[in-house]
Amino acid sequence: MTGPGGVLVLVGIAAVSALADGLTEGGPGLILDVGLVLGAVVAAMSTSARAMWLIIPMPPLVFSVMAVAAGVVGDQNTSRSLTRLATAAATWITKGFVAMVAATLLGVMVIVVRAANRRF
Amino acid sequence: MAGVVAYALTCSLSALVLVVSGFGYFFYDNLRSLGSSHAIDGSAPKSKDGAVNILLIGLDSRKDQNGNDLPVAILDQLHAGSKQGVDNGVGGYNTNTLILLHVPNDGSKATAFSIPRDDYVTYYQALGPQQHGKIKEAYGVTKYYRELQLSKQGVHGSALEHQGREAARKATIATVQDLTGVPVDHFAEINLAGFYDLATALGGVEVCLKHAVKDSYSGADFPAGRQHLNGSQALAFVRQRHGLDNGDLDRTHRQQAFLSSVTHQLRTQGVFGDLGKMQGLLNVAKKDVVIDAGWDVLGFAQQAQNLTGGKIEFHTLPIERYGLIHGQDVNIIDPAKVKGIVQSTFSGKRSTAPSPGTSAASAAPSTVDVLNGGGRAGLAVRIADRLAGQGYLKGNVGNTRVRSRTAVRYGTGANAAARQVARAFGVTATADPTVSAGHVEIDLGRNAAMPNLPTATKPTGTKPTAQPQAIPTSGAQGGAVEGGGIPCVN
Repeated sequence: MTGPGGVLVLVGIAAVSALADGLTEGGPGLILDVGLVLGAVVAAMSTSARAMWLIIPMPPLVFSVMAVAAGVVGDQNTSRSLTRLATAAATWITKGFVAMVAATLLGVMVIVVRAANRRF
Repeated sequence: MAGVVAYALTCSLSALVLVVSGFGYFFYDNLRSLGSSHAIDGSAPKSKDGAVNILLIGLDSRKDQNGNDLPVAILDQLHAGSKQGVDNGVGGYNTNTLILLHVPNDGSKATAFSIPRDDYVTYYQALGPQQHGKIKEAYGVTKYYRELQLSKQGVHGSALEHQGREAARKATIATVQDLTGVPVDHFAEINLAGFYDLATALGGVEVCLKHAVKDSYSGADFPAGRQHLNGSQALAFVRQRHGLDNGDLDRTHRQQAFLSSVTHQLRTQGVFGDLGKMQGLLNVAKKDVVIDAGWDVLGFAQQAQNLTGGKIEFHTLPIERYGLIHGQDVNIIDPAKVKGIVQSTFSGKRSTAPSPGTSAASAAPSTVDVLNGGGRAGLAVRIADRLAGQGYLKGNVGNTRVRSRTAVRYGTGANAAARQVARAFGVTATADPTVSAGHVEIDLGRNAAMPNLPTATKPTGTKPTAQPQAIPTSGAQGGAVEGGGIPCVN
């Protein structure tokens, strides 16, 4: 798969997870956390060897967008004012720190292992 | 080349998100560790529509969280008495500050009610033989008897202190819930030392006094007008009651003015952007503030943005008169009126005028006051509880002068309820202009016993609520204190 294709896989899995969290939990939660990690691993495994480095910086950025999406889907009151949305977004993204780190590290591990195997 | 630059920018942005969210996550984790109390459990009733009711408890204790006496140097800084005084129980575990704060979910103005510490109430979930008294004592009384029970089970040291305090918090919260008729969703408790540390971490506070004051009990010595107080002075400011016209009731306005000043300061000084100050506040909170484990403080911060914007109004709950019970000066209150004020204010259905004492009262279940005039110990409480279960509103429960026969008297608009209740006791109800409108007063005689009590008429499927009441603007409790600035108080 191309680099952009791999990113789309990550975005797609995260988006579905965000929607599920927004509808069931009222905001970003465990489903999005797990979806982000899964998406990062799947994207890292399925992207071509030449383009897999593109995946490395993606998890935090994808999570930031999807967490806000999940929050707005879950509680439309938060989008009433920009200040309220900004404060809520900061909270949602902060709570996903562990998931972002896990997704980034696992993605890097998969890529490093693939790169090492490719050499040999 | 462009691709390399784009990739580098993407990596930088990603790293920035991780670093910033990392700082925020560790700060949030510290905030979460604040919630150590389980005094409010998951089965407790909650406010509706996403609104939040928070009980702020100011404990007049000279001991730390483990029950150890505060160091003498700290006591001196707090002007909180001597070591000997502490040994003799000065301050005890009185909750001299009780403020019930309502934060709506729609961004509208928050409202806070100060509950005067000497209000004579019925305790709930309290332990021991004392089931009514000043509301400030519910905490200490329950703590004492719970620790007696635990000591017999071999519990001692800090575990004894913590479990005693947990029971005390539950009793205080339950008593406030019963008095006001609204759920308490969360609470925050702070003691003298914690208040001092908090005010110091804020860098002191600005206050405004209408008159110069000097009081040796609290250490207050301030000129009139606007001034900056350090932590020690701020504590004296909120503790002073001697020398104030309305004593403790004026003191509640001092506490409200302090909170208003703090919220004003948080907004104007941008404390939330000052990492050093935030870390200082967090350290104080971790050491000195106890909150319930179920409170998502960060989530609350989003909801409560308006507090730092000044959209908050403080009131003090009214009293009917001062009284003397068991040789103690107390505030006599009208529980139905208190419930009416708090429930209608928090629900947004504030009455614009005092409810009339005739037809309005008779349309709803009457309030029953039960006074024990020589009957068996605890009978008044049992009868009041049973009547509340039958749909009547619980009023004052206490003692009266010894009498031979039970009497039932009633105020305007309560004749129907009075006749029902009197029939159960085998007596005739009599109208009495000294009894509050809408109230039935039962004075139990020497040979009184639990009768077969009637059921009050009430709407099907709904719990009876108090009559909506306007917040009084005159009287000893004074008027509102507006948040968002530096209000001048007595």
